[in-house]
Amino acid sequence: MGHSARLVWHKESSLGDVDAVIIPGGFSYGDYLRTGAIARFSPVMQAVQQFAARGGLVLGICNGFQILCEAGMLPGALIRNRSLQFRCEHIFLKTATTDSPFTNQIPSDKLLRIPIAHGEGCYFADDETLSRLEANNQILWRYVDAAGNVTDDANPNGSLRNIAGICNEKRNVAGLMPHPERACEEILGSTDGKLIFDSLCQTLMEAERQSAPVAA
Amino acid sequence: MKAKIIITPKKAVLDPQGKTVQNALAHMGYNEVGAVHVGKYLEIELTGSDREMARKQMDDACHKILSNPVIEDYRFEIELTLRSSSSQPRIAIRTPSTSWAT
Repeated sequence: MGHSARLVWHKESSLGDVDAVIIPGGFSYGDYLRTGAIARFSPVMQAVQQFAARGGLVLGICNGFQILCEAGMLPGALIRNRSLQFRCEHIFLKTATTDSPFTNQIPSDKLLRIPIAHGEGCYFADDETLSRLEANNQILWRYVDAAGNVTDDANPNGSLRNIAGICNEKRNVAGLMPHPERACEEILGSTDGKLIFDSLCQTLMEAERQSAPVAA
Repeated sequence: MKAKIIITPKKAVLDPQGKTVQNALAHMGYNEVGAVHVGKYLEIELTGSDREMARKQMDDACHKILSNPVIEDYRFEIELTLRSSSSQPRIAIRTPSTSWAT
């Protein structure tokens, strides 16, 4: 995509000079205790929290989303899929709002075909939190069927209100269970995921143009 | 000392494991079984001797990492374990002096 990226090990205490942080998927600490429960205390997470507090962009994918919820950087929690099965398949996402650094390049009527691969992707939050998420437009993506309808059949894991991804109130931290990075090249079957990274890049380039630093 | 911690899913949280176990019990013929909730049990050996301090520490640990307050409830007890140490009271056993008739 024409930008540089570097891998930051979880034991590092500094992020260095980055414009955005992506916490990837995986099985950190074997999902022991709870998924993401131990990783959220990794040394690097202090730097990530400080980066986010200064307005830096953070995107958590799958286990990354779980870690952000455990760290309290995003509300709610991810629990075991209601089917108790590990679901590994392509699903459709409807973008609930284009008003975010993660969705501003996604055409509002375009469905994203993106793969999931998780056993604990069921999004849970209490009613008060869910109402707040809706009211503040913090739900970024929902699971839908091929026609774009939010149905129970289209929900692969039982997530409340078919929520696949959300952002925080400040709209600089987001998480989603599906893997957009696995839908960035034709050879992988879909390039829809690239629109999420395009949105991130667009936000950062615009911020640079306006000389308004995104991260201090 | 030993901390015995029980972590259970909050009532409002979907518990498909619990439901599956409930169905399995019903299929096996246990017909007076209601809802089942599957949780976690942890045993933590504590090397200190201050029970109140241990209680505070475990409460903190449960809240911070051992449980996720968004989806789980916890309860625990601190159990004193029998272990010889200088801080434990020594139990003196007196045997009655026996005089044998010679």
